[in-house]
Amino acid sequence: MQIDWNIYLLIIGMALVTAWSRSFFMILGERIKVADWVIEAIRFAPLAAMVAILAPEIFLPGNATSVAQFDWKLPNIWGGMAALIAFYLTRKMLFTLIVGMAVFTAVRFWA
Amino acid sequence: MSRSSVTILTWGFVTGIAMAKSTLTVQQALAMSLLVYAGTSQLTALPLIAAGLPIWMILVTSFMVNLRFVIFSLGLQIHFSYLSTWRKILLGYCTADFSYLFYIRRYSKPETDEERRSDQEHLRLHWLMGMQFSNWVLWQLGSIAGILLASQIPNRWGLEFAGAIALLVIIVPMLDRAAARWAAVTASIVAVATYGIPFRLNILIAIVAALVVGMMTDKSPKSSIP
Repeated sequence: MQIDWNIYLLIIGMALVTAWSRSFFMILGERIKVADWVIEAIRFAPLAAMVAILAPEIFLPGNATSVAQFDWKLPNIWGGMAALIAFYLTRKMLFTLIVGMAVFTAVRFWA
Repeated sequence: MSRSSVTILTWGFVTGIAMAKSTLTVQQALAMSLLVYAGTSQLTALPLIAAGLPIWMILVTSFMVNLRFVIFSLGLQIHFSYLSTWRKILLGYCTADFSYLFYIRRYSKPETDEERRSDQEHLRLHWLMGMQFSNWVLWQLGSIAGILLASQIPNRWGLEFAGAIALLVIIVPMLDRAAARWAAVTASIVAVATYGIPFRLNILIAIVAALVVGMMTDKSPKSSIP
């Protein structure tokens, strides 16, 4: 069996990122003052990163190479929209998942 | 079982399914679950791994989506300043969302020196460690179950889409202010419109654009921690 060391290197790196981010200010100590613009950026950065990664997953097909492959018949779009509405109305994660997967699957097979 | 236990189990389960249905093998998914132990960064890393991004770019993204933990560590700082650096790192590593939120709800004020001297058994530290232990066990149970179950299900079922829905469920509660919604709309449009440029630089461009728009449209008083 081929072992992909790059993936394991990444996993170890991500574990270190977990440890570093969760203990960040504890190990920095109490001397550090945080600049205002850093706090400002911290408020939007995680949201921006997650949306930037998720949006192409929803709006473009998996093997896309450019925005030209946008297509309204894509099951991701409909599944994503259904999940968004389901979560907006109920705030229930499991229900959202079931609705999103159901619509995604339905469009995949019948559209 | 309490509601929060069910939440942790479910999230672990869904993250496990998403990992098993990504480009990772079962062994890699198990290793990621046991070592990384951070659902959001795992879920966001999966599409980036599939796209073949360099390791350092995935690590930078992981840190960005983990920034809420950096804020948490600011909250814990004054409570555990007496520990050694290694103990702080270990304690931080184990503090996921629920352990932090429950700890801060129960012990909102740090101990006074007087209280700390009389508390020879470090009751608060051990209370937090107990929380961390149950959080870890529940998360791993859910996650491992998800990985093993999903690995038995054929790829054509399209279960990998569960990971995208899970991210959506994390994102929506963050859209509580107009500025956050503008930032999210900007990030979506830019990330999709510039998709296909080399090295997935569309993500970086989208993040920068969203930060600029978010800060410009933000009307809340400056320098207040969320």
